[in-house]
Amino acid sequence: MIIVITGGSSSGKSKVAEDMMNKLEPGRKLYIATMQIGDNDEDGKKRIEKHRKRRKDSNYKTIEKGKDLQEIGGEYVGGAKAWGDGTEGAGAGISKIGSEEIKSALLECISNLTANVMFSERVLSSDATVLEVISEVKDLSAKMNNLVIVTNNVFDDIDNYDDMTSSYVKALGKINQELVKMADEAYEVVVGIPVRIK
Amino acid sequence: MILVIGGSHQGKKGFVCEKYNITSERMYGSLVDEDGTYAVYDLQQIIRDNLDLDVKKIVMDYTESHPDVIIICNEIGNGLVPIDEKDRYYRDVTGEILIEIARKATEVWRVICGIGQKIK
Repeated sequence: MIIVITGGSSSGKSKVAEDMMNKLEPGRKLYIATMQIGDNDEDGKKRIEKHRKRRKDSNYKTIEKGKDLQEIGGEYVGGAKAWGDGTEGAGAGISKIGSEEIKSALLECISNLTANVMFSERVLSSDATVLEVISEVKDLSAKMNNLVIVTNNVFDDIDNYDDMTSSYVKALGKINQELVKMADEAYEVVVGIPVRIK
Repeated sequence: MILVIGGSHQGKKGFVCEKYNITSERMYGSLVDEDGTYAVYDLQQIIRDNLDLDVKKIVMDYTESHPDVIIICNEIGNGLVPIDEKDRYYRDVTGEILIEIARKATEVWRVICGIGQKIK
């Protein structure tokens, strides 16, 4: 089962995604965090703290992975660190991903993943970014029985962006369409209410 | 309590007047002490004007003491993250307040092109 959750900023997407994930898999599951924040990013830290607190009582094993999602599972051991939200250290159990042990994951979120893929060592084109992100997510979904994907609606805004930002918004729009094609269900979260769109 | 949201200039106020049979005199741009059927519109502006205070508490206390109010608010979170810190806070706190209001509301409507879709 693949579920895509979209919505605006502070629309309650994460909470809805976690509730849906918990329903699909009450047991152990992965929380894949793609947000990479700088040391001085107080906003980002606050947001992460809020999400961590909420997941504290759930059965999430958190890994931070800004991109290269295909490295998750199999031999993957390094690079990720646990957030201390009641999950054990990252190294240990992660090699079990892809086996019968953990087959459900919540991926949050595609807007960060897309930015991390597009703006890495060199800036990728919009099309190349779409291909890479979709390929990484497909790879992950092949290893999972249940995948809940959180993305972002950034499209109802003034659009006088610079070229690079336009290219990013274009890529994210295309990626969202591709993800929803792959998905069994898709929802837009509006003021905390999931509105089914597929 | 009833919540009506949507983008700017989508006919939210007109929708409320028609749907709940009230005149524009029963619509207020501030947190007024009224009763009966009436609406408070531009909640996002009220929030923006009070960012330096505990605006979440102010709005939630108001809805608590005025359970029959119809709240009208713009959706402002569907864009890129603003660069300015205060803008980011404005967007986030508005989102949090709307989630809270929606949870307590008996009805939630989303208006686009003048058409209301009932989402709760």
